[in-house]
Amino acid sequence: MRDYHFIGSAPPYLKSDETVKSIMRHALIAFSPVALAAVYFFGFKAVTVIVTSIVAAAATEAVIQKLRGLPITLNDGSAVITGLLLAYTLPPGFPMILTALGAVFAIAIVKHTFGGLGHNIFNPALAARVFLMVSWPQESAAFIWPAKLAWVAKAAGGFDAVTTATPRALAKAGSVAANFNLFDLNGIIANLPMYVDLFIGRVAGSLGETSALAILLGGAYIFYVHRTKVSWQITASYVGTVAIFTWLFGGQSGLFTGDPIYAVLSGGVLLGASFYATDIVTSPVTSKGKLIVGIGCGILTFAIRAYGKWPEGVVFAILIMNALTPLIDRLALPKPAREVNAQ
Amino acid sequence: MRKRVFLEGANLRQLQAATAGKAIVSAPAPTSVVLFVGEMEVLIKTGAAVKIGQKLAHSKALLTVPVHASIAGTVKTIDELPHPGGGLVRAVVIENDGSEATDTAVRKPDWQTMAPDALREAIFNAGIALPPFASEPAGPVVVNCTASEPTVTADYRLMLERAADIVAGLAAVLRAVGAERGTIVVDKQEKEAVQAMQKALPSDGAITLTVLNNRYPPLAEKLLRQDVFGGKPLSGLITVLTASEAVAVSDFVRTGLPYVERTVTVVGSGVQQPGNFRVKIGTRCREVLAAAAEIDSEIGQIILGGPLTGTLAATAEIPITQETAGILALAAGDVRRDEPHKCVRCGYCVQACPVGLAPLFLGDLVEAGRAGEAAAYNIAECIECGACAYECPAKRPLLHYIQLAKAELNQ
Repeated sequence: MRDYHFIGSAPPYLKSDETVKSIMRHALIAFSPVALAAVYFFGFKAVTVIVTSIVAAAATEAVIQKLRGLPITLNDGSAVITGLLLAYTLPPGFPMILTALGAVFAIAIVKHTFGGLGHNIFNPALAARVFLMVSWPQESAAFIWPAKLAWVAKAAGGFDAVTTATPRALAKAGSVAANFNLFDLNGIIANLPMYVDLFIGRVAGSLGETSALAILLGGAYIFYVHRTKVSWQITASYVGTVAIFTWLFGGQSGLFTGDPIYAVLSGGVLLGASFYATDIVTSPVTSKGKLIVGIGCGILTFAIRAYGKWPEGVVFAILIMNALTPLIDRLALPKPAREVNAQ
Repeated sequence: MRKRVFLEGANLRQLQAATAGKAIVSAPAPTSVVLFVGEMEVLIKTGAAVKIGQKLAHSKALLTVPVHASIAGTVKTIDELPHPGGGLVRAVVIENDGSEATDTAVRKPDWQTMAPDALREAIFNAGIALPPFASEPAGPVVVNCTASEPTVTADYRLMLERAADIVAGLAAVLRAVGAERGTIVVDKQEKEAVQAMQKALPSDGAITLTVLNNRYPPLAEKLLRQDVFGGKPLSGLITVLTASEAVAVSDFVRTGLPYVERTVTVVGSGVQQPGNFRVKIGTRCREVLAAAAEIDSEIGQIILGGPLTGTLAATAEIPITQETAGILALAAGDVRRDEPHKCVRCGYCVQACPVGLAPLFLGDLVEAGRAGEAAAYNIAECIECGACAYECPAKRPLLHYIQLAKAELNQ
């Protein structure tokens, strides 16, 4: 009769194939169309920023973990992702030394001093972006137009005048997308070239935000891979809130005259709502919480755009909601199903 | 309605597919059986000759059903042996003499004419756990035909092959407890089984079909009233049977045989021919695995039940009982040895929890040594289904943490 050597363990005895590494891998694949679009439109200036950011982020994490005597976990991909996402918030040709500094700040200060993966409160890439924006405002706003577009020249009165303005800056100045009528189909069609430029990404902006098409391709991949688990609530409520609030209050001719299409396709809303606000570590764990965060991000983004000093509010909106997420997690817990007693 | 969970893991789907199409076959007769009697009064001595269906032990206080011989042979020993739930329990071991002789006392009951109370007592004495007497008037009777684990297809096969017997068993129980209505709960995803049961229903409407979009976890008795009766308050004591018990009742009223065999799903990388087997109660795991062509290489774990809520067999000599619906055998290489990662706050566990808890926070409390605060997070509602730990990408031992916290809170 054979001898058995059983192995003891706690249930469950089988588990799903998904791991932290596989989640990061799927995220990286989803983020890559955006990288391709950035290189396509901005060429070498995109490559330097992306590569510097990733290398600096990975090196920082390795050094910190070595110094602390922790196992080096670069192969879980999270440092690479932070590096990539930081690069997406920067303008093409952003100085390499500053890019590296931002990556070090993101990994060392925002991620590891708070406890490392799973414990950071703020999105490291976004917090680093704010650090760079505040410390080097000129370099952080040095945008480039990949193509000379007619509607931009018309809005700004000649192309040279707008060298560093982004679609958001133009909107803030009131030069474009000032009047919108949802029911004026002809008017919308007249703006189609502009919307198409924004959708494809032929516009100025940070490396990640310009191409809505690339972002959507990435989003489609996540949907395909994660189906039942993806945090669509955040993306949908964030984008939807921005669209609705802009339509209602963002126009210059009274209520319902804001351009929601322009609002969603320009600036960082689509990027932020798809890749940053949905970051698993900094977003709520419940469906209700996710909706709250999405709506909160949307309102804050709209408010900063419309009434604040900056032309774009996505980065601040998400960071503020990050700060509220632990509280939201406590308050938005689901109600447990209890046994209903018979009479 | 309780939230439905869809455990989509490929490993679970593959294991289910391995046996869903396998018709029930009889396992070869066991060489011996181990039948637990615990503190009951034992009616035979070592060395006695026993026949199939012969009563071996009963509880004078009628706390548990009596124990019957599942094979014919000689009583080899009455001793304390390892029990599936852990620990040692007194058991009767019978060595098979190959005669397959049935006890003369086994007689088909007049179930349709005998008094309902007598029928109830007869079913109890046949080893099927109906309360032997009623303290309250009878509420509806439920036969739960949904799978207890994603890897157990025994109930599914019973529905396909023995739908009429399930209905017949329920009808007998209705009469025995004096209930007016009964319902059979089936999983919407098991379409052929739903059809088979639909066809087997009698036309008088006393028995209905409740089709639930079930998946996992199985119908927890705790949430029965909500899931099956829509949360409406009910009067009377609800009687719940498994599909296996309903078939056992049917066999009893047809032949007089007590509950001495059941269908078990045997599956996993530890067996080469997984399937559904009709096994004598008390057959040791070793022999059940042999029926499914156990692999030659090292087996790492034998799990009674299924991968999510099952228990590990401490030895291969542990027998199956009336409660064993499945055996999962894992080759040594397939046993999980996880190095848990820190929680990444993904919320998969919250999405997976069918009862609406936040297992990640319960795990945090246990890791921080603050298990006592778990009560405020509704840990008492946890049905220990294992869905949270199954889905966790960080492979945190969430179910284990919850069990630890509950044990601490209960002290």
